[in-house]
Amino acid sequence: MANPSPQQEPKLALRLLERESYDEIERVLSAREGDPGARAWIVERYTPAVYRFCMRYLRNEEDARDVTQETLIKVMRNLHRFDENRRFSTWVFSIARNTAIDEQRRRKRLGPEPKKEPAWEGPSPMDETSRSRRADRLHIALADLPPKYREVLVLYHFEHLKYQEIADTLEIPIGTVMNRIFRARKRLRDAYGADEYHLA
Amino acid sequence: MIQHPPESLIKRFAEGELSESLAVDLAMHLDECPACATQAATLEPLALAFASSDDPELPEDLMGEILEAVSELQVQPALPPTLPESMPVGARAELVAGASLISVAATLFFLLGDPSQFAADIAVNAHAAATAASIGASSLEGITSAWPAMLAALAFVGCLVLSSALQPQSYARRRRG
Repeated sequence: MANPSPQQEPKLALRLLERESYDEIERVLSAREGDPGARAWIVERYTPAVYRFCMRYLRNEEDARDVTQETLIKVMRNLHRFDENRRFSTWVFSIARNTAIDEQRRRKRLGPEPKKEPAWEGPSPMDETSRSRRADRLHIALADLPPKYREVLVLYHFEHLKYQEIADTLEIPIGTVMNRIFRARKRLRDAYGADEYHLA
Repeated sequence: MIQHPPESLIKRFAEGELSESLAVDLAMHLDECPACATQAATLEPLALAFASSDDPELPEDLMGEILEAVSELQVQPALPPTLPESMPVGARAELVAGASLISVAATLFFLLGDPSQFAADIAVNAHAAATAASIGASSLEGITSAWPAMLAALAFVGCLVLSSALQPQSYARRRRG
C-alpha cells in the first residue's frame, strides 16, 4: 500500500482522532453499564491528565491529589448523566475544574494555612541546563497568572485540548477563549522576559 | 480542497495580533487541521518553554487508591432520554400552551356530552362543512352544533403547538438565537 502523501496526512490524523474518540465512547458506554474493565480503563487514562491539570491549577500536591480523587469518583458516579454528544475529555476536565474551584473556595474560607507541602515548581533546580531554566521560569510566571488565564494555557499547551474543547470545558464562547489565551500569553511573555523566550 | 492560511497569518495569530473574529475563524481551522496547528504551535513565541516543561509526576499510590475507591461505587442505571434541562423559554412556553390546549379540549369533551354522540357530531359537521364549502355557501347551515368541531380544532391546534415545541430543529434554532 502506498504511503499517504503530505496532503493526506492531516486527513489521516483526523481519522485516527475520530477513531480514538469512537473507541473511547464505546468504553464509556461499557463503563456506564458497570463493566469493571472499562471503568478501570477510564481511571487509568484520565487520572494522570486530571492530576497534571490540578497540580498546575492548584499548585499544591496535597490539594491536587484530593481533587483528582474527588474528580474521578464524581466522573464514575455521574457516568449515567454523561451526554454522548459531548466529548468525554471535556466533560472530565470541566468536572476537574469545578472541583478545583470548590477546593480553592474552601481553602479561602479556612483562611491562610500553615505551609505543609512545597508547591510544585517544575523540574529540579539542581539541573542547571538551559532547558530546565526555561521551564522553571515558565512555571513561576504561570503560577503568578490569575486562574482564568492559567487554566486556558494549561488546557491548551499542556493537555492539548482544541480551542473548541476548551470553550466547551469552561462553558464560555470560543472568542472569550481566544482573548484569554492571547492575554495570558502576553502576560507570560512580559513576565518571562523578552530576551529569554527566543532562546534556542 | 482545504485552503490553508498563509504562514504570515498563522504567525500573527500565534502572537495574538489578529482581531477576535479572525482569530476565532483561524482557531476553528486549527482545531480541524493538524498541519496548520503544528505550524501555529512552533510559531508561538513561548513554544520552546512549553515544550521544555516536565509534567508533574503522579504520586505512586494515587492510581491504586482511586481504582479501589471507584470499584466500591455502585453503578447507576443510565438515565432515560428526557428533554434537556436547558430547554429555551420559548420552547417551554409552547410546550405548556400545547399541553394546556389539549387538556382543555379533553376536559370539555368529557364534561359536555356523550363521547359516542360527540364522534357522530364531528362526522356530521365535517360532512356539512365539506358540502357547504363545495357549493360555496356563505353560511354553514346544517351544522347542528359548533362545539364538537371547536373542541376538535382546539385539540388539533394543541397538537401542532406541542409538536413545534418538541421538534429538534426548531429547538436548536432557538438555542442559537
